[in-house]
Amino acid sequence: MKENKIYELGKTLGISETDAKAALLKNRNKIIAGIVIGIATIMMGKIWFEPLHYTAASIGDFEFLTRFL
Amino acid sequence: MLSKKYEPRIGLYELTLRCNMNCIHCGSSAGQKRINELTTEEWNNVTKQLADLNCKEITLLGGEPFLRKDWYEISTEIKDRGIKITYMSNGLLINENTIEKLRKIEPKVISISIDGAKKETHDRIRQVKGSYDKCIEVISDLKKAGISTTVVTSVNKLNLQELPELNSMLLNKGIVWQLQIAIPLGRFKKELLLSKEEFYAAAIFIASTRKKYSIKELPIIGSHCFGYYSKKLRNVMVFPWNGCQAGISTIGIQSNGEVKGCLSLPPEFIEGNIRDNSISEIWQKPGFCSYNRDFKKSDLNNNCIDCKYGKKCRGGCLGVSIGITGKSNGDTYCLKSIEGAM
Repeated sequence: MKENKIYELGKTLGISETDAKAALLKNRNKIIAGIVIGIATIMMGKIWFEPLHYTAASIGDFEFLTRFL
Repeated sequence: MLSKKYEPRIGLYELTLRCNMNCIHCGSSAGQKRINELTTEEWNNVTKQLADLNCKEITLLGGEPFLRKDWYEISTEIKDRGIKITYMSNGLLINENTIEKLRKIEPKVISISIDGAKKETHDRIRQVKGSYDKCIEVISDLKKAGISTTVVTSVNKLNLQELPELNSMLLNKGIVWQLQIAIPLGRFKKELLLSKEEFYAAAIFIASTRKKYSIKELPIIGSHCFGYYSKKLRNVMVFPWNGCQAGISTIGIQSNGEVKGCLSLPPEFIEGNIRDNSISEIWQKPGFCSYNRDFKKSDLNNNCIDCKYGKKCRGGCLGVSIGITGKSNGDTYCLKSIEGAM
């Protein structure tokens, strides 16, 4: 998907190009995300993440990973 | 978070199927209670069994959980067993008395559904006139009482365009805002389902809003059905997607005692009844939730076939996959897949 398409879709909900740009994953974050997910994968079966559907998120869920990835 | 491979750490209790709303997107077609719903003692016995199996959190939902006169007794048992409690409610029955009891229970969070920024939209989706005003009042009362509150919005074609307005409403209120897509199960009609482009726009909205505002200003998240493995967008969910948890860390119990890996799955996924067997027996039964426990890459369907994340992802949300395509392990509302197609 081209970035222009993302800006175009964002506009349908009133999101400016600048704000839509902020939603994009930066390369630096991609690397960090890769490392974190990599470690999680290695430890699969040992670590669990509750995916939230019939549970609701609380403010306590907004920890490290939320902003990082 | 260190744990065994299969352990029912999250319990989902459909306390009753009875509901005082008639939401057009209700995946359980709630309204009338089920025949022969569990008694207080039976629910408390379920809690005891789950506590013995190391359950950490129980969500009470319905129907509308506060329609059960014994919700407080059931909650007290859960609390006394050291298990965290979450409520999913439409808010209509929450009054001063309920809040007083909730303060004693100290829930992890209580979530109230708001399905539109405009009262006409919310009331139309929920099919109860005046429910919007009541929900707003309840949210304010819960906050005043110091109870952690989350607003859940089920996004569909009727309310998608109201997300920016809802954003303004919830800003600086100290309320978590959780967005999830309405799934075509139960009463929800497929024509109100978001298109893939609309779904992706909503994901951009979440990622952008999260970047724009601090956690204090607006903690916004997408629930698990909000996409997997995007190569473009910042994480839309709180945690990385690690595959459907039905039968892995989650167990769902219907109000008549029937057990499924997750309550969002259709009736053909019922795998026992707590009146016939103990939870431990059901959980440890060979073949329980085999769609997850014995998953093979060859089980993948639709856009998920040959996906490099297939083994871990297992084709996204099973409920969404079945609701939309009729096939398991092939959730078409996948950020990665949509990015590849556009």
